[in-house]
Amino acid sequence: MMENGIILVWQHWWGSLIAGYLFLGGLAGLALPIAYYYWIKERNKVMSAVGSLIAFIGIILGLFLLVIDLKRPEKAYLALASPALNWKSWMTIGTYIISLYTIFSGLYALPFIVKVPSPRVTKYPTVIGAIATFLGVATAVYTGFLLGAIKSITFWNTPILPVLFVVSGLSAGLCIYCAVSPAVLRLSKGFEKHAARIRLQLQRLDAYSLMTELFLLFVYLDTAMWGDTGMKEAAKSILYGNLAPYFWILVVVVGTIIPLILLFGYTLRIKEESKTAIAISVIAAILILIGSFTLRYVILKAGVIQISLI
Amino acid sequence: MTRYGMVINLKTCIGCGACVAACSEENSIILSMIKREAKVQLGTRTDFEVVEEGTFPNAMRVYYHHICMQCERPPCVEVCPTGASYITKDGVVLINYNYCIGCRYCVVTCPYGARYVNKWLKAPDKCTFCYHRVKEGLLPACVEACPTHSRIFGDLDNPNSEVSHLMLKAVSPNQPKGTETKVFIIPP
Ligand code: SF4
Ligand code: SF4
Repeated sequence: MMENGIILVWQHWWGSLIAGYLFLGGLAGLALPIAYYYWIKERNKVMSAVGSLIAFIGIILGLFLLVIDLKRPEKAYLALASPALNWKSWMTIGTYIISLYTIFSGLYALPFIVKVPSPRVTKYPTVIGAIATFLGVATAVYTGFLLGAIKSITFWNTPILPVLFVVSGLSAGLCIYCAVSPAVLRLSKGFEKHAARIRLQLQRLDAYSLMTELFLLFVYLDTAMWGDTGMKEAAKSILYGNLAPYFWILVVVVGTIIPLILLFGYTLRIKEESKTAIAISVIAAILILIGSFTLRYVILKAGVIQISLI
Repeated sequence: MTRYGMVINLKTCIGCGACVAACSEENSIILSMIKREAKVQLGTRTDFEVVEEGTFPNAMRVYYHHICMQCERPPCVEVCPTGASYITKDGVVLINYNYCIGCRYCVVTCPYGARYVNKWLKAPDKCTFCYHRVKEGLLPACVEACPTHSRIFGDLDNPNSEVSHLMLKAVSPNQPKGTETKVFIIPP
């Protein structure tokens, strides 16, 4: 497409696999810090087990998507061990962060899943959890920097993107908890009484993070509308171009508005734990996850390189 | 020190496509790969876009050339995780396929859209200034093939070379700024 002497090339090399990777990176990155919070605050083993497992499974799935997206997946080990490794590349830094995070989330999960003699184990999760929490947040932030480092695509080259991805990762991480933990807590001896309280806490935070996400998203798109040609074209394609159906239907309505209605209109009002509350939490979680994934997809697909050949 | 560069003269280019054909033959790139209709990305190492400029009677056709600009500070090398994309001592940006994992970070990052993903290599590919020929004292295939002498190749650091003279009349399409290209364009 040629416009005012500028050729626009739409980013078409990275698609849903990378979107899935960014989505899982954000989700898994923030799942463990939430678990760690419940460990530090109330030594809640069940929450810690749930959280570290979500993180561990999520990040492994994400890495799997990353590897199968490579054109030469058999050479994937070079991203960690190439003789000419480039430490200035966010891909290298990120691969190391994620690999370490995978190891530490696994280590953190271990004592909660395998039965270990209890008195000595309190120090272990506290230390390992702190490291894993740091790595988890770094993972979520990095998914934004990976795109932000690409100077040719001005739409991505903004500081809002990492923040948006972290908040979106938080809402996705929280919603999985809200779906899984009440059921698990109810089934675990000695933790039943916490189920309703914890779900309410998590869902309130989830609702706030969803609203923050929506707000950031519109700030992001609005600033892009005032930016250069590439940013403008990207924002236009999202707001009323070919990506608009994905954006308005899946990200805004399905991923944000309906879950907010479900949370504020229903689950946040029930103070007791019931099967319907759990069922609705699960539905809200699925919707939020759909929205969160589509957000990454839309932002990836809207990337446009503007080339002026003179 | 040698610093290879190229000048493309749009004043004399007649859009015959000899450069594209010669490049494809030299570097065994199948021409049918060109996805012109999709207008997304060149499927060859070099290509040109035909643009009609102005209105009658001052209308003209301009051929904007697509090619790797051999950036002095190449963003593609900056982002490549494995060090597969690198810059040689004489300033040519190349890909070492032993290290490339096919992540396409470089393809997305190139501000000139100069890289494409080669289906058979399962990796990105781009103009190498025909490094294999240049090392044997030959000219790049496109330069040799051009009938109007619109692509001029040589050592930018050699004050007696034709490129270093023409370079002064040409512009460096540096967008975004700071990549410092070694391919220069003489505007139509
Ligand atoms: S034009 Fe693109 S591929 Fe060529 S050196 Fe510059 S960034 Fe790399
Ligand atoms: S596709 Fe290959 S050359 Fe390009 S950034 Fe990835 S590893 Fe480097």
